[in-house]
Parts: sequence; C-alpha cells; structure tokens
Amino acid sequence: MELHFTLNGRPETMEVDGSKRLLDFIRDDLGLTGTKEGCGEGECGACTVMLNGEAIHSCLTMTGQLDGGELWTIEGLEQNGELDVIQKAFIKKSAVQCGFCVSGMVMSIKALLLKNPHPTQEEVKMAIAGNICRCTGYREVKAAVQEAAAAQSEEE
Amino acid sequence: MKEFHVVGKELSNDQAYGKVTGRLHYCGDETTQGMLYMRLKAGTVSHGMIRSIDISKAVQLPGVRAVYTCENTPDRLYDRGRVGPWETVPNQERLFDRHIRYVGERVAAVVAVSEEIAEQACRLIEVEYDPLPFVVSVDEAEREDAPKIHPDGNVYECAPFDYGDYASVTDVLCHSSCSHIGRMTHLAMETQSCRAKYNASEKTLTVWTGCQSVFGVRSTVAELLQMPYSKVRVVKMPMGGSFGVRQETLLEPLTSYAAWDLQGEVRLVYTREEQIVNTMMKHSVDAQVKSKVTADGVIQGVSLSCRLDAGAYLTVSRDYVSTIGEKINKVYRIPNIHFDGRAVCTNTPINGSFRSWGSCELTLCLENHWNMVAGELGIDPIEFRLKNIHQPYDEEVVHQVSIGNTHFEECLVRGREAFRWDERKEECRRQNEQQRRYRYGVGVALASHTSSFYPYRVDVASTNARLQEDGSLIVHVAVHDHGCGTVMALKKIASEVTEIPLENILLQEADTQSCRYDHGCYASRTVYSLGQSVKTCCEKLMDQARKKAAAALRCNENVLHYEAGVFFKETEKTVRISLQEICEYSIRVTGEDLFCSVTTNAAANPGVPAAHFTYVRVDTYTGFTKVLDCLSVHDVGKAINPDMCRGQVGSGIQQGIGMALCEEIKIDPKTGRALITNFKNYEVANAVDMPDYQTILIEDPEPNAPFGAKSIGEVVLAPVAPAVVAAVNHALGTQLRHLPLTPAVILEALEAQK
Ligand code: FES
Ligand code: FES
Repeated sequence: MELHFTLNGRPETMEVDGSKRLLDFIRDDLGLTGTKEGCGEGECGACTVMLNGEAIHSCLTMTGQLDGGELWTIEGLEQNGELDVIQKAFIKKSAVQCGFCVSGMVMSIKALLLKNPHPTQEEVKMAIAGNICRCTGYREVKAAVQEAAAAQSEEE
Repeated sequence: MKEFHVVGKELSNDQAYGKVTGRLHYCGDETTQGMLYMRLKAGTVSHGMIRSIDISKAVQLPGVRAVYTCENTPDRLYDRGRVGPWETVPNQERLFDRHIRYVGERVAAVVAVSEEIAEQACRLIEVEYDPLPFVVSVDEAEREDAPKIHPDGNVYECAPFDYGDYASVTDVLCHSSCSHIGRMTHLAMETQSCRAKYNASEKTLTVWTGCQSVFGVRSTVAELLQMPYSKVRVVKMPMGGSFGVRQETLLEPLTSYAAWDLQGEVRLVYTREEQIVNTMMKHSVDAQVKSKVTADGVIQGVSLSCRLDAGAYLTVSRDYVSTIGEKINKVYRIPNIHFDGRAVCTNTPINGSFRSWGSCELTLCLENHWNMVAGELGIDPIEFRLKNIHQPYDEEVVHQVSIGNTHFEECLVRGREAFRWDERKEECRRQNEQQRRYRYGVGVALASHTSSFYPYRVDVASTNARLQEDGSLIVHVAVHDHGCGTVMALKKIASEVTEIPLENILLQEADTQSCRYDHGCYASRTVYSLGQSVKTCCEKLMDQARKKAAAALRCNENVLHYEAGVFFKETEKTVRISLQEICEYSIRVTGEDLFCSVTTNAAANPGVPAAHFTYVRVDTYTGFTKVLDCLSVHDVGKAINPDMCRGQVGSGIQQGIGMALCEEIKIDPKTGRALITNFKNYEVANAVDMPDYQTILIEDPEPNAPFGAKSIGEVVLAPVAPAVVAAVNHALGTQLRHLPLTPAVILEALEAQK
C-alpha cells in the first residue's frame, strides 16, 4: 500500500506492506534502530513510539495503521542539535544505565508530558508502568520525569 | 579528604547521549550490505536421539543460504563457560548434537537473506526423534537407576570444605533450616545477539558481541574453527544489561561457524523465548543449613549442604557450587565450618551464571538461617549479627586472605538508625496485635562479595596508554561495560591521574585486537582490578612525561609541578611545558613515543559489606506482599560513579524482591519444559510495584585500590531477598523459606497456621 504519514515532523510517502509490524518498518525500512524490541508482545515497552500523540507499542501495531498519522520516534526528539528536555533530564538525573529501555521510556514520558505537563508521582508511575527497566529500579527515571516537567514549564 | 577532579562526581554514563537519542548501536541494530540472518529450530522432546532430520524443503526455499544440523556440522565439543584453553571444563556441548537433552534445545539453524525467510525455512525442517527416558526433578535424577543424561551420570559432586571441626562442637544449641530458591530469568532487556564476519581474502574472522569476555569468546571460537587466535577478532558491543547472562559463550560459536562456512557476515538475534529457554536460567537451589550457637548468640559452627539443578548440561554449575562454598566465610567469624554441595543434571533448560555467582544463593540460605536462629534465641537480628560479624582486616578462613577494610558494623548500625529499625519493629508489633487483614514486618540481611579474582586465580589486568600528539589520551583496557558505567569509572580514573579532561580521553571497550589479555569482566572486579591497572599505567605515563618535561626545560624533575596538562617550575611559573609540547619534544627531539603498558595483579580481594533493611505489608486475604520501604547500605570504599552506584542498588532491589516474592520460571513436571517462555507471564516489578528505597554509601577508602574503590554491581542483589523473607516471616509469625513467597504460598501458610 501507499502510506502517507509524517515521520518526526517531516511528511513521507512510501510504498509498504501494511501488515508488517510497525516496529520492523521503523527499524528495517526507515533504518531507525533507536526503537528496540524487548519482547515482541506488548509487555516490555522497549518498542514504544508516539503515534498521533499517544505512546504505543510498535510491536503490536501494523504499519498500515500509520496511514495519515504522525509518528515520532526517539530519533526525532533532538531538534537542531538540542536535546529534548526529557533526554536532558535522563542524562542529568542518571536515569540511563544499559539504555535498552530508554528510548521507549522517553517516548512514553513524551506522550505523558504532552497531555499532562504537571504529572503527579502516581501519574508518572502509571505512564511508565508498561516500560520495564532491569537496571535502575526506576527511582532515577521518576526523578528525571519531574525534572523534565519542571524544565518544560520554565521554558514556557 | 583530598578533593578529586572527577572521581566521585556524577554524570557517570559514558554513552548517555547515544542512549537517550537512540544513536548508540547495540549488536542487533547493525545491518550491512549482504548480511545474512540466522534463525534456530527448537527440539520438541525432553530427551531423545534425532532419528532423521529432513532439510530438503528448507534448503530449497528461495533466499536460504545454508541449513545446519548435527549431520553437516563438525562433531567438536566446546564449553560455554571456558575462558582460557588451560581450563579443565565439562566440554559437553556441540554446535548440534544428535542427542537432545531438553525441550527447546536447538536442532537446526537456517541462514537466509532475511530473518523471515530463515524463520519460514525452520518450519520446513522435519525432525524425527527416538525418545529416551528422562528425568525432570533433581530428586529423580539423583537416583541410582535414573536415566543418564551424560555418559558420566547426572550427579557432579564438588569437593567438600572443612575448617575447624563442626561435628565436635558441643554444649551449644543446634539449629537447622532448609531454603529453596526457584529458577529465574535474568531479564536483561536486550536479548542476546551476535554478528560474525569472515574475510576470505585475509582469512580473518571478526565477531561482534555484547559479551563479558572477548578473550574467552575468541578462545572458544578459534578452537572450534581451528583458526589461529591471532586471526580471530572479538569486539565487545554495547549490551542491554547482563546480570550474568552474557558471561558465557552462547551465540558466538554457531554464528561464527556460519560466517566462516559461508565466507560472509551473519547475524543472530534471540527472541525473548530463546532468551529465556536457550541461554541459561538462574539455578534452582535446595540447601540445608545447620548451626551451633551459644545461648547468648555467638556462632560456634555452621554446616551448609546445597544442591543445584544444573539443567541438561553441566556447564558452569559445579564451579558455581564450589563458589558458594568459597564465599562461606566472608561475613561472620565462625570457628567451625563444613560445606558440601553438588550439581545435578536434569532434562530441563540449562542453568548457569547469574549476578553474584553464588553470593545471593549463599546469603539467602545463611541469612534465612540466622534470622531464624535469632528468633529462636529471642535476640534482635541486628544484635545477633553484631555479635558475630567480621571486623576490618579479619582473615576469611577458606582462602586465608584478609577481607580488607570492611565495615559490617557500620553498615548495620547506620542502617538501623536510618531505617528506624527499633521503632518500626515496635510499630509492626502494635499493628499486628489486632490480627487484622494487613500484617506488617521488618527484615534485615547482611552480605558481602568479591572485588577481584584473587586468590581464586591470578588476576591479570593490563592497560596501554598513549599520549597523542595534541596532548589527548588513548587508553586500551579490556573493559566490558554491562551498561552500568564502568567505562566512565575507568576514564575518570585516567583523568584523575593525568588531569586530562574526560572529553579528551578515548577509552573504548574490549577488543582482542587492541587490548591486552584479560579474563573478563565478572566477579565484580572491573573497578578494583582493571581500575588499578589503569591508574598505575597512567601514573607511569605521567612519570615519563615528567622526565621528558625536565629534559625539555633543562631542569631537575623534582622542581616541576603539574596541573591541568602543564608542567611548570613552582619558582618560575613561566618555565612551563604542556603535554602537547612534551609529546612533540619526545617524538621530534628524543625520537620516542610517549606510551606506557602495564599489567597489574590484584593481590587482595576486599569484601563489600552490604546490609539491606526492609518493611513489608502482607495482605492475609490475598496473600500478596508489598514492600513498603527499604534501605540498602553499601560499604564501597569509594564511589567513583556515585549516581551509578545508587542506580545499581535499585536494580538489585528489583531483582531481589523478585527472587523473594514473584519471579520464577516453573518447569513442567511431566516434560521438563519451561512453563514461562515470554515476558507476559514473568512477574517483574514495574514502576508502580517498585517500593521507595534509600541508599547509604559508606566510603572509607580501601588501601591499594583505585582511589579506594571496591565493587558494587553484584552485591546489591545479595541481601535483598533474605531481608524480604525475614520481613514476611516477621509479619506472619511463619518460617517460610521456600521461595518465591507468592500469594499462593502465603495463603497456604496462613491456612496451616489456623
Ligand atoms: S517489544 Fe513491544 S512491548 Fe516489548
Ligand atoms: S537502563 Fe537497562 S533496562 Fe533500563
């Protein structure tokens, strides 16, 4: 099928197999390997991307569902050489260890902060409950979200 | 205390930028022109011989390049746990074996132009088996008449250890307890992956893998392919967590074989199911602990017998058992000790290396026991421990080496205060008085671990450092970062010594071509052993630079001061020379390159005391345990990366709580098959489940350690589970020690109490 969508802010048109997993489309066809596969069944969150403002599991989504939509992957967050507030906060709060969960984690948080710029601790936990991290115990991640939220509201 | 430039500062992840932007490539992220992909076919019998294997349909599928089975691959044995060719190891594995020993064992591999085609071809392979009798449980496998999984039987004893004379201790109270730990999966977020490329014109092979020992992988691969070690290059790739699962050589032999055979580049990435079933699991352990303790709580003797389920191949399991024994005297002063243990093969998935290699198992069994003993004697568990712990520089009796500058007492005492142990204990008593729905409990446990290989084996750590022409620095050391910041730790050490800014230092991960020999990054030795080698090397390099500076400035080197890349005369500050100028002088005037190559051998193995305190709530209606709060206290010597140390504590807590309460891969008693083969059914704490936790790092520098640093990466796990078990038992007045304490187990115990 012919697919029209925007990728990280830029319009794209491509001929694709609409039944392909979105995750494979992103990694293999778009060559954006920042999105990871940890389980392939919607349980780990490593493959999280943002589609039309929602954090979704790209391993459970078909590429056809992208048609007419707006897709953001981790590669799109750094703009003009400047990291997104969430990325900065992850570095500043040392929320990154092996990093394998990080792109998915950051995308979940991106979707959260878009909708809810001042989340409570509980809301933060809920937003990343589907993103499993084996390295950090989540404490630094939660702190990074608060940091990002604060930085974002300062910017505004 | 001396002010450090970079040691002890935060922002400790060398690759943080690459990780938050998705730019960092893990092994499975790389694709190249012409790359081929491998998929595996899993066997379906518990135990049997392959009668026939029909690959005719698979090889005909367009896009398939090769199909490998036991019929067309070399009949050569290798060992996943081996690092050096001099090691005596079980050597039970082949690329493919006609003899299949567990459900899920690989029986064939397909290499094709895409993963999809390879996968499809796997389904076209037809295998017929002649089933053999099999054993699933360790009890069955130990029986005289049990079917043999390997020619030498199923039971592998390890040499018992005795110190003093446990049997002859009299006039004391005897206690006995049994503990059980279930199988777990490491759950590193990245599944295993490997790429290998054969260059036919050079006759060289390059292997990229997120491993813990490039030299170990090289040794196994080179011998399997009968290539000279010099022609095989192994490069350590970033890894998405290890927790022990990347310690052994798993995917590399087969991927390399295919690359060599096809004279091309081949990639294999495991699915989560393969990751769970075809790497290794954490051993299930049964242990009996007996002790002799005086009425006022002084330990006179301990005896530990343990049995590990090795799974279908022995691999590292016998060593694992002996390591448990070797660690038995790292925490308490005990005058009489007995240890024995064995590993038993069963027709189930393989068990093997797991974070802490015995420390978490040993700690669980012993701390469960001491918590029980303290309870029976009516002594507070912290008080009990304070009577028995090692003092700094005590000698542990197994290897008769000093435990170093360790502070068990401080860990307990500071933790007790910070955790409000006494108040909380009293609160729990009051809360539980009414016997309402929720019961509360507190628990504590104490552990230690290693910081080097010494004296288990000679610890060899080598560094090369060369000053570049602009005054920047390249350091080669065979470091394997598990994702927890060890590259940055070593870089900080180099920067601290040379005062060259971090951004001007290149220190990459292990590569057999550019690094000198190293056994690998495990046993928590990276910072202590490799760090000392980096430090020594950089110091020597700076000595050379100083000599050159003195020659260039025509003065005595003693009058020179050094600061931020410049040597100068204290008395005449304009007489100065920068590292860049020294390099130029050295090359152009004296005709020498400024480099240094150093090998250090750790001659000590300081312990790393760790105390964990936890507060839980058990729901007597549902049997569900919630950890409400916990605290870990770690004596690390010096935290080079304090933020990463704290981060690792969090992961240890997550894994430890999992071990105590919910994480388990159950085995089908009828077939030996893993009953959980996906993420979905494996209970792991997410951001909602994880409790709040506090961390205290005790920093009193260890002598002869790089800026005093010892280790942390593995010990973080060790004390967590037994503390949680103690808290549950405290809450319920039970004596549960058969892990995990799932709601079903707890409800059953409550039922039995009635
Ligand atoms: S890979 Fe999609 S949720 Fe795990
Ligand atoms: S940082 Fe390793 S899984 Fe999250």
